[in-house]
Amino acid sequence: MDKVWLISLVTLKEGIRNRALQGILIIALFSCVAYLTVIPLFAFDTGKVAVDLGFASMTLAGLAIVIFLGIGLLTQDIHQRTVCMILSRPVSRTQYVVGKFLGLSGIVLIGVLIITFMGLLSSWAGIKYVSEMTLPRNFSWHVLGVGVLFNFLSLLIIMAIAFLFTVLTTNAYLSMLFTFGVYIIGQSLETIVKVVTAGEFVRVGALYTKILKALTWIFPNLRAFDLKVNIAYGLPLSLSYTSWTAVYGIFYIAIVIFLTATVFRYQEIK
Amino acid sequence: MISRKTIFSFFILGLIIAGLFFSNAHVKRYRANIPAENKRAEVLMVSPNLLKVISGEFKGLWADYLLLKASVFLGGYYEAVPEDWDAIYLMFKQSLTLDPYFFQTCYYTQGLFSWREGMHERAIELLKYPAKYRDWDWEPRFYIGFDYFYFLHNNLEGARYMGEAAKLPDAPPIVATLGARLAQREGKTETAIALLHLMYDRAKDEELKKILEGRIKAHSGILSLEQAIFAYKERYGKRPESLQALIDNGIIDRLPENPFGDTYLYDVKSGRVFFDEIQ
Repeated sequence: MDKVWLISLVTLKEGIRNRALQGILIIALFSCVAYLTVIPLFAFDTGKVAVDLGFASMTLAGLAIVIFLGIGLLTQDIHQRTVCMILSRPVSRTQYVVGKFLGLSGIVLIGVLIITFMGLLSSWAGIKYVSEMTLPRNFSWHVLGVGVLFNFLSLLIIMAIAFLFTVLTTNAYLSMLFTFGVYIIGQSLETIVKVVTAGEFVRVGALYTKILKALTWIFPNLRAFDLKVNIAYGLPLSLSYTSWTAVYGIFYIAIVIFLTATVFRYQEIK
Repeated sequence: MISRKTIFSFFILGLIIAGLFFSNAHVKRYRANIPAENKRAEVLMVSPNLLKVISGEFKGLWADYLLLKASVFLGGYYEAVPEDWDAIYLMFKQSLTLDPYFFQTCYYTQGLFSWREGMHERAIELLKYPAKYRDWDWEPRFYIGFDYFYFLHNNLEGARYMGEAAKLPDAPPIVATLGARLAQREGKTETAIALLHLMYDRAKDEELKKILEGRIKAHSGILSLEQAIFAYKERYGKRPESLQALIDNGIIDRLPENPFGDTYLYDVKSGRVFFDEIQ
């Protein structure tokens, strides 16, 4: 376990050296400016607009870390054979994958926390100085906290998938493309299945519907982690829903990391 | 000692900056009279459901953008033609499909669509989205009830929605009163004035406030003329032939001011008064 922590710490430092946090800070500052300039254009439900903007910046920053930094660091290790240097020590390939994943998760967590803090700061300034700005209906710190945590969890799922594709293809561009594809599918598959099943707007064959439903067991349901509506409109959030969704996310990450480690174990590093 | 090469580089940089400022000033001059939005309302002609699929987790943000885009066009310099209203209707529908909870879209639907001839059913269709999702809010149901009653003359549906609105928390007592009036098929203009006052009190947008102020004034004018026509009928046993007859027979001193036209329009057959066109 010590080795895993050591690798994750080195990865975290490497990420910080890569100026990932500067990028996050720029996105956070941009979202602060957007808060104070875009929100006064709306008259009602301004708290909801703030939630939309804040979470959009969080997702964009997180995706940027996962897609560019995560995939970049891993392919760099493989192509520059830095990985051989690490694996020549008593470190297993599984420990390497898990360590890298935890280190990058740390960077994503720092990014999410920075953006949340800046978002809260600008919302506080907005409520104090911009007359149009109001708190969302039934605002709850607890629901906001769960929303941020779920956003972080969905980013970790994407990162785990990015790891799997990087190890499978060992090509940064292909991995980015496939990861982004899975992100899009994860965000839209549930809606597509609902629209197709309702049969109100689109009519498709039973086999096609079955295939789509089968895919929902393979691709991650990222929509389940989107709690923006609950935060923005003060809608109730059940403990059982949040618990099961969190468990689902953790298990999904575990399976993908297990697959990544397995593929990596049998891969020949040239 | 500054080298010749450095001086030359600064000279070239100065020329480029001057050229940039000069050309930008010309571009600004040419574009000064072009409104923020295009002359005609533009909308992405895709089904709202497809938009929901492709917008993923940014659907809330996209809904905000669509509403802003429609508002910018409506607040622009140009008079909207029927095709524009079709485009704006689709934008509102897309926005409400992406975020059916957003109150601003609901409010603008009532403020802008419901009052347009030929758009009443569409306004109700749009308002049914927030009415379904905002199950704590009396306003969307109240708007639907009003539209059924006032524009579609469907008192039964109007009273049903008003009744549903009155049961919700925070609904002002006037909602129940108006619902009862609807059920009795009376007080159409008073109901319109009451709704407009409710909307005016909530309005934050100065442009919309001005429109609502005009409508309140116009409906107040209609109400006073309707009362005068009623008084004329009481006195002479028939409706006046024109609004001028009300002045000639001493019922009123002068016609009230119509903020949307020269004068009010009067339909002798039905005895109804309109501020824009006879319906």
